[in-house]
Amino acid sequence: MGVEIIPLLFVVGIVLVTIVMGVWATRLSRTTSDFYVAGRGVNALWNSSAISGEYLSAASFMGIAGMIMKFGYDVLWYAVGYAAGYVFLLLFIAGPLRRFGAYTIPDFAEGRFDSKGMRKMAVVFALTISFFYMMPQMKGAGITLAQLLGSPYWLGVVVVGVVITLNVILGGMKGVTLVQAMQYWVKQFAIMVPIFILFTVTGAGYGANVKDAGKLGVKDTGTPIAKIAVDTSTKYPMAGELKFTSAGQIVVTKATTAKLSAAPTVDAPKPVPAVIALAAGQTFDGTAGQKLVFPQGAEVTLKAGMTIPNVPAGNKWLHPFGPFTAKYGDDYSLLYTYSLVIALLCGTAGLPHILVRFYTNPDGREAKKTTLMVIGFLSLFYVFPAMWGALGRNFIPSLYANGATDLVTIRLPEQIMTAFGHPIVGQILTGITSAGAFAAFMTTFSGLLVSVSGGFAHDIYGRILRPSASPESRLLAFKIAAAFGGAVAICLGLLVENFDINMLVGWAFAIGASTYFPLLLLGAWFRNLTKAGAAAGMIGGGAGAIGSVVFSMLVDKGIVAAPAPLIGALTSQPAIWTVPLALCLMYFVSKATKSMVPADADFKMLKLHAPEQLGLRADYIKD
Amino acid sequence: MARKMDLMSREFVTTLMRRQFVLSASIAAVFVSIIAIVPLLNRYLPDVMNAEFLGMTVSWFFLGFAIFPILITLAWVFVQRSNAFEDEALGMVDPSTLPKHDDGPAATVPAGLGH
Repeated sequence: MGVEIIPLLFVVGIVLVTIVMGVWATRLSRTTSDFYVAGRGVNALWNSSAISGEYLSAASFMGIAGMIMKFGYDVLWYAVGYAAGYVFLLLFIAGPLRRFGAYTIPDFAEGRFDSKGMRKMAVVFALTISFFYMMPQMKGAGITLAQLLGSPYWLGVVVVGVVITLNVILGGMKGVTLVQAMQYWVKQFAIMVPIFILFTVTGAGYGANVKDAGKLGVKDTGTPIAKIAVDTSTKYPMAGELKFTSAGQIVVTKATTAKLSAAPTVDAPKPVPAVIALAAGQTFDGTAGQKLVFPQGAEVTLKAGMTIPNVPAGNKWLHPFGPFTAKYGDDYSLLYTYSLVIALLCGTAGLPHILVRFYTNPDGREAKKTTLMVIGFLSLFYVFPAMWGALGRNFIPSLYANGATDLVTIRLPEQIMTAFGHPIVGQILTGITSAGAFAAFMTTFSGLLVSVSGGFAHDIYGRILRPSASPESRLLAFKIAAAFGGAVAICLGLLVENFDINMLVGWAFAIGASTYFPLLLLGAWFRNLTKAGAAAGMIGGGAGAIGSVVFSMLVDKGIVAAPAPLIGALTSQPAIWTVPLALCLMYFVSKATKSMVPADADFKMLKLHAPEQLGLRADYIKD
Repeated sequence: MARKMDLMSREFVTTLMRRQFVLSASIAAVFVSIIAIVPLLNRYLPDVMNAEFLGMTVSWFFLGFAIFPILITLAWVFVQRSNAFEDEALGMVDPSTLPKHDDGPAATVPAGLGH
């Protein structure tokens, strides 16, 4: 695939606009307070656009549509959970957090328990979550630019990494706020307008497409799944599977091994895979339901006439408890669903780069208003990814072959408009969605970078290493930390080419839900929470979540043998036990260490909950 | 409000928190019930949830569309009630117990508003 000029122009455009706005904003950004919290003078409309802009990441813009296409109904929970997480944030956390007057969660942790140790622990978790969350943004940038430019993976990572790092160094939070507010509207436009045009051109609406998609592959009454038209070379950039939808032929391009499993039957629902060796040039005749799992780097050619592989049957796709949540068997699909929903609902309230935004509100009342508006904006956004997924399943099923459904928002407009005789319009629409995708990587990454740099400069340098540092040297520390954080993120981004975007995002959410969410919830509402209790809960919940994440990654890579299905479900979606574990540890350990309740706990609770007019607030960040 | 409370009293902070918490928790209860019941209905009433509705299924329509206005409504109700309660709470405090605003960070103009 060659260079695609029109989409590329759109991407270059959005990158340039980002740079120019960032530079322009530096003129507004003069004080330390501007850098960290945009001077707190950000109004609710602006701030809620910025929060939404920062939040809508690669996973939202590309990942959900791709997963809906791949797995169907179950993935709707992602769209719902990503938006609904803000309801928890609004009900229990937004107002109190703002009123406490701390800038970062580490500030809150120290201020709430009068403990430097709590600050250190909170910083460690903030940095862990942020770096985990940066990786999928980098990966999205790398694969998208590779699609449009035919460029190597690293180019997209480096371009986005360098542009945003410079922006953060120059503009700080205020520059970033401007850019992010603008980019929310770019993303909203890019996910919404092209899909309406595509519905109009194809003459079938959302409901009709879901209905058609739900019939795909069902025997007798259903629509047959499309066949491969010409011999198609397929590469596996990461280990991946090829499941024969019906009988078909593939030719192996270069020698490889593969794990072959027979089609599941009633008697043997879980066939045991056997390792086979495939020589270069060898032809393999597959039968319906047979599955080959290839290692990373394998290359095969799908022969013309074979049905597109890896397409789930229509009823599995349309109905709940399909291939996504029933990964560990149908018995555990309900458990898996609940655990996923808990991670999403609680994880939103545990993302450091989102929480930091609540300090940019002038007061608690504005913080609540901002959150309400964010819920509105996100709701408007999250109805659309599912439309892309359903349309993609009907019109561009070739993406199933090598698991590239993440690219549906990028590839679909071109595909449909070309088929209907408007290739130029198709290129323009793909340009719009590509610009939206880049806006997504750039905003989320810049938010994370501000939060990481703030963590280093404010929490580590300014509060732990050199509390006496002048505002100027803190500002310098922020800039150095941003350069360093950006460099680390680029390196990490280069390492994760072979990981799945949503898997990486899921890790960040699970860790956030098991550490920060319990800390903030109980910290704001449970007077007798002690630092021992809070620490025990964060360590217990965090260890459970991180341990599960690492374990399922090792299983995924085949380093550790797959555990029993129940353990598999509970480690790949750990929130259902790690969140209650963290909450219980916090509660019971606090009960056992009653003597450690801060002497002024009543005053702290008053500060958290009293309206600002009572005059109790003291902000951490001052000029 | 019959009697004004001392700002720094245990009584005031307890009243403030309890009222706020009851409000938050009751809206959370509605919200969590709505979310939590969907997988159960999907599991135990599949015929209803998988019935065709506007081309899609009932369950798809619910998660794809209907839940979002519900979220917005719940959030809006919370913000209205919470703000109304805070106005009420201001009147519950004995004004003579408020901190003096001649110095201290609470009295200064929030940084950045001067731009």
